[in-house]
Order: sequence, then C-alpha cells, then structure tokens
Amino acid sequence: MSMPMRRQTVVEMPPEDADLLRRLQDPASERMAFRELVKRYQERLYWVIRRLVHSHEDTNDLLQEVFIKVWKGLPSFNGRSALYTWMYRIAVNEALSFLRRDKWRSLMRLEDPSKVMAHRLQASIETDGDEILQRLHAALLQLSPQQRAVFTLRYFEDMPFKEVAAVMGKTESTVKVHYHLARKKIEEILTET
Amino acid sequence: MTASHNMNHQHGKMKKQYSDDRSLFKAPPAGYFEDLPDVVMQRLPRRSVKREEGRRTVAWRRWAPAVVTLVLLAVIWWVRVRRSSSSLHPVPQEWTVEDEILYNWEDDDLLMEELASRDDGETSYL
Repeated sequence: MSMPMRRQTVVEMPPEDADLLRRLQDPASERMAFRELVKRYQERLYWVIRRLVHSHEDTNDLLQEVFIKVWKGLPSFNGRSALYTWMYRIAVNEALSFLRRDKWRSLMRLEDPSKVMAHRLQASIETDGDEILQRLHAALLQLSPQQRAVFTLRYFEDMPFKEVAAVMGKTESTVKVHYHLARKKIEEILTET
Repeated sequence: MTASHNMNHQHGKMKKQYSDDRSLFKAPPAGYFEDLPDVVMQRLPRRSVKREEGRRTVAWRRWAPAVVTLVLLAVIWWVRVRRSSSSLHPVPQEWTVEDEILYNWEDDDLLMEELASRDDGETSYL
C-alpha cells in the first residue's frame, strides 16, 4: 500500500525524481527505488566531491557516507527543495566537513594544509593532463573551501545561481558575490603565474 | 595562449573549453560505478521501526537534550539562589530581637516597629 506524501512538495522537481520520491516513501519499494537513486546520482555527486577533495579514496568514502545520510534523512525529507538539490547539499557539506577535519589533521602534524592539498591534487591528476586545467585547479586551492564549492557548482556543474544558493544554504546574492570573488582571484593567480 | 587570457572576459568560451575537467583527474577504478550501488545497499541500515514511530522518535531525540539542559539549568539556578540567600542571612542559633530584625531586614513593618520603639534612635546596627 502506498504511503501518502507527508507534506506537499513545494518546489517543482523533475517528474522522474517526483516518481522516485513517491516510491522511496513506500516501504515496499523503497530499497529498490533507493538503488535507482544511487545509480542516477552517483556519478554527478562523485565528481562534485572529487573536485573538492581530489583523491578517489576520500571521494569514495564520502560518497558512501552521503548516500547513507540520504537514506537516513529520507523519512524527514520535506520536499522544500528538489531531491537532487538536497543530495548535492549533503554532498557539499560532507566534502566541506572533510576539508575542515583534514586541515586540522595537517595542523596537528605540523604540516602546511595548503601544501598537503597541493600534493594530493598532484597525486590525483593525470600527469599529461591539460595544462590550463591543472593550473586552474591549482589556483582553486587558494580559494576558501566555500568559494571553491560555489565555483565548482557554478562553473563545472553549470548550476544556476538559484540552485547553488539552495545547495550552499545561502542567499543568491551571497553566492554571486562568492563566485565573483572566486573568479577575480583565479584571474589574478593565473595572471601572476 | 596564456591562462589569464583564457580566463579574462572569456567566461563563455572558457566554460566551453574547460568546464569538463573530468579527464584531468585519474579515472576511478574500472567498474567502480557499476559496483557502488551494491556497496551502498549493503551498508544501508535497516528501518527498525514503522515510519510514523520513527518520526516520533526522531522528534523526541531532537527536543529531549534541549529540554533536559533547560531543566538542569533551572535546577542549578534555583539551588544557587537558595544558597546565596541563606548565606547572606544565616539563621542565628539564639534569636535576639536584633537578629530577628537583621534576618527579616526586608520586613519593613518589623523594622519600623523596632525603630519606633527606640527612643535614642540608635540604628547603627542597620
């Protein structure tokens, strides 16, 4: 028997997501629907996290945690945002938390966090990769994690500012400022080098 | 072509050229995305209670720490107030009239009565 939606969905979500959400809210079909959800979003979420933390191993751990959090959070998902926006938000928050923990770990080991990140980036990219892309990612390391997240969502994921704001839990104007500052800083860094 | 040239005022062009950066990173192991759904599904915790009960439990768990903290703070505050008031005005072992006045110094009637009963107006103890 299908369970009724707990609350009225207040944002428009893609029809395939709305259908998936309906099946996720039915105990009889939720596990099957969840597998579909993982298949549908794993690659997109993987790359959002990977661009922020760089190493595949860390990305893999975080991505699994994201899906477990999504599963645990589904009963209280209120539909105030689109399903994928909500999942992106969890993914970005997990990645940012990881970066914070990682920074502290580096400091505790008396290492320079920026050097650790640069080393990890070098180890995660193809040595014969596009030079400009390499420099772009190296420049991104000099931004704050928040700015990197905003830049990643807007630039690489091509997400509208409105959705970036929803993912980051900030206002649209705030993320526009973050993006503007990030671009300006990247331009300066790339001009210097 | 320099990097800054690409970045500077050519956002649209640059996006087209460099927004797909996946090839830059070392690819995940072969078959990673095929295997991941199974790995995730194996790690999912079972839903142990009915959803409605689960929601109530979640709501209860969300509010309980705040309520317990508030109650504890209220009890601590009450105990401190009680202690400070009793240490300011300790109850004497043997009561005299002056002790009675000092102990009940907030009792204006008693104070005025005592003052009125004294002809010399000595109020140094106050």
